[in-house]
Amino acid sequence: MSKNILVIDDEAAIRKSFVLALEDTGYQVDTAETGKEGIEKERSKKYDLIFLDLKMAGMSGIEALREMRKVNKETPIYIITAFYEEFYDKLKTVEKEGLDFELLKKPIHSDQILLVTKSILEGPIGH
Amino acid sequence: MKIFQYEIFKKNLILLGILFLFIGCQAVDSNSSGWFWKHEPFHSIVESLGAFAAITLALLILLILKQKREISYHFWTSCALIGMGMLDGFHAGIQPGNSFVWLHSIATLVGGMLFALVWLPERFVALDRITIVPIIVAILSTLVGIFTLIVPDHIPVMLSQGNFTITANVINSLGGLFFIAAALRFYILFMTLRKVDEILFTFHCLLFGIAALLFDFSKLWDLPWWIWHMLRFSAYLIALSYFIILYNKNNMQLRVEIKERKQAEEALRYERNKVIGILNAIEDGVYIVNQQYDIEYINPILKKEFGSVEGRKCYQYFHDREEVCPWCKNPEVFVGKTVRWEWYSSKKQLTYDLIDTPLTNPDGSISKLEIFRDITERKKAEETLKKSQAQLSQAEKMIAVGTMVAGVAHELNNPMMAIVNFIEYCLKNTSPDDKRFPILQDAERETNRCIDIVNNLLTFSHKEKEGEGEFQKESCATILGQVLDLLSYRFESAKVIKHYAKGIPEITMKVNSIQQVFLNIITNALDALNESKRKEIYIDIKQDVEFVQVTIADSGHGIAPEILPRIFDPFFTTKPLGQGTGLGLSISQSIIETHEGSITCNSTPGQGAKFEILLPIKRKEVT
Repeated sequence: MSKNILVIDDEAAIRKSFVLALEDTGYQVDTAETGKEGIEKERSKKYDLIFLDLKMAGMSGIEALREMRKVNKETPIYIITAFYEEFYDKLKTVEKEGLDFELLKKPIHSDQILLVTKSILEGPIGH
Repeated sequence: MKIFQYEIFKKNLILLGILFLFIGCQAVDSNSSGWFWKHEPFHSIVESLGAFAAITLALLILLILKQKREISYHFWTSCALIGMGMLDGFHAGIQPGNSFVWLHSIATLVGGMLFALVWLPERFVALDRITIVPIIVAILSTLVGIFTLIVPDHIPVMLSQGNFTITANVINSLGGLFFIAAALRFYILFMTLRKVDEILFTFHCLLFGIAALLFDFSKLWDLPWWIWHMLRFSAYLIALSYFIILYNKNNMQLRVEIKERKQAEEALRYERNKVIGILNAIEDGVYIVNQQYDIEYINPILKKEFGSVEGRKCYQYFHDREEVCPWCKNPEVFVGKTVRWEWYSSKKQLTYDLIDTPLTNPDGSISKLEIFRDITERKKAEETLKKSQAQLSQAEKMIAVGTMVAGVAHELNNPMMAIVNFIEYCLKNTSPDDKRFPILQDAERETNRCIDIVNNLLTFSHKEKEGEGEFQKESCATILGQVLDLLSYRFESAKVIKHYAKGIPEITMKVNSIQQVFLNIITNALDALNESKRKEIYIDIKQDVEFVQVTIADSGHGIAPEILPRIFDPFFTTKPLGQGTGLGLSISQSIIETHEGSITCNSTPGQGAKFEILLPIKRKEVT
């Protein structure tokens, strides 16, 4: 069964980076342009991995994370950002609230995207 | 000198003169009455006193002339008085007779003639003759007197049957006329000079003249004879008393002047001592130079600094030059300007603040007074201040630039990530045989360089402070070990010599940041060793009281002194284009400063560079 990945980022180039990196892997990569769209997609379909941008116009990554975690507490969510220091306090708060997430720092290379995705979805290499 | 109210004096004299004239005329009229009074001792006393008064008066006048160092017709007055006085002295001393009349007559003639010399222009009188001429007059008069005493028979006949001969009358009349001429001269002088001396002598001569003319109408011991004696005597007394008063006043004034001069001299001496005291005591150098560049005065402190003058010109003495300095301020100072300038003595390695002021000499010429103030220390302090101000403004600028750069770098992250991913995608889907493949590889490499630069910039601007982890306890040796492991591939030819002291405490620090510092410095050291024969890196760790000191040194080419102060500046690099961002040491410095430590660099060109990092063992609690 094909695994589903959701990429939420307001920048088309970033979304495209993920799509290209994960091409030919057999995973289904969906993208969302806003936090709101991402939540809708997340609710309509079961995803195995979500990449979530932090700084977005409209709903921020933090808000989107909170919203998604209300329903779904299992799906690994990777927050990808170059700006996490701006959201450092909020991230700390979210962490204290018990919401699960991982942090990935931009820029992320295609091999890193692959590595992270595979280790999450297939388990660590060698295991 | 106006001592008397000469108007009053003049009136009195005129009254006196009129009185005597009146009495004289009465006497002539009453001559027929035959009043005679023969009294030789009284006559002798009157004549002696007259002679004495004349000589005293003459000497007084000479004395006053000498005191005042003044040349005037009074010179003739004194000569006349001496001649007349001497001869009258002889006249007083002998028995009445031919010689007796002769001496008196000749005295009148000599006195009149010498008095009349006041008509001569002043150029006939000279200060050097002031003593010799009166002496000659005195000697000649004495000779005439002695001659008369020795050979009384050879003198003209003056008396004939109790009456005066024509010769006697002529001599006396002539003398009288000379006196009147002198009186006229004195009167003219008085009209121009308006001085009491002149009016006094006008009447003095007038009295003598009248007395001499009265002679013709008189006989021995008769009334006119006594009257003209009295006239002469009063003339003497009046003149003498006036001159005694004058002399006293003169003397008194002289004494006052001497006293004042003494006081002035004392004040001057005090002022001089004060000035010398000040010049000796002050720390500023002072010297005076004339227009010929001769040093006229130099105070001890300046002499101590530059040695003794030994007749050298100022340019030789101060500047070791053989000719006038082109910057010499003398032309300006000698036209009266005050000039302030600075001079650096390369010989003394001292900077002076100089003030040049014109100084007028007693002869009217101008010398230059120069004051030296050693401002070397102040100058140094100013320079340091200027430098630190420049550094401060540079630092402010860098903070502003840093903030801006950080913002820009941040924004670059997203597009950068996209670009690198797109290139990687293209690479993946391009055959390595394709000629575009290596170009894509180039593009990837260059993009990665961009990403590195952006990362460095962000680190530099502290934007990553929270990101690189929390402060934690770690030992410097451990971190250094990690760094050396990381760089091991570069240590094939270079040798690391480590001296780690025992018991070095762990330090609370951001491990990743400190790691980056060590990495930067050791990478630089390795780069510096590229062209060295001896390739060694020395790493020392020791404790310095409250600090851990990490020293990283290399045996490379070292850092040129002129660039040493700039190595911590952001974007400063000596590495070839593409091999460094110029931020490594800047970042290191800001990291160490975040840790409240310090990083310094010493280097001798050709002998490598040495970086010393001090990290406090106990960090202040940061909230």
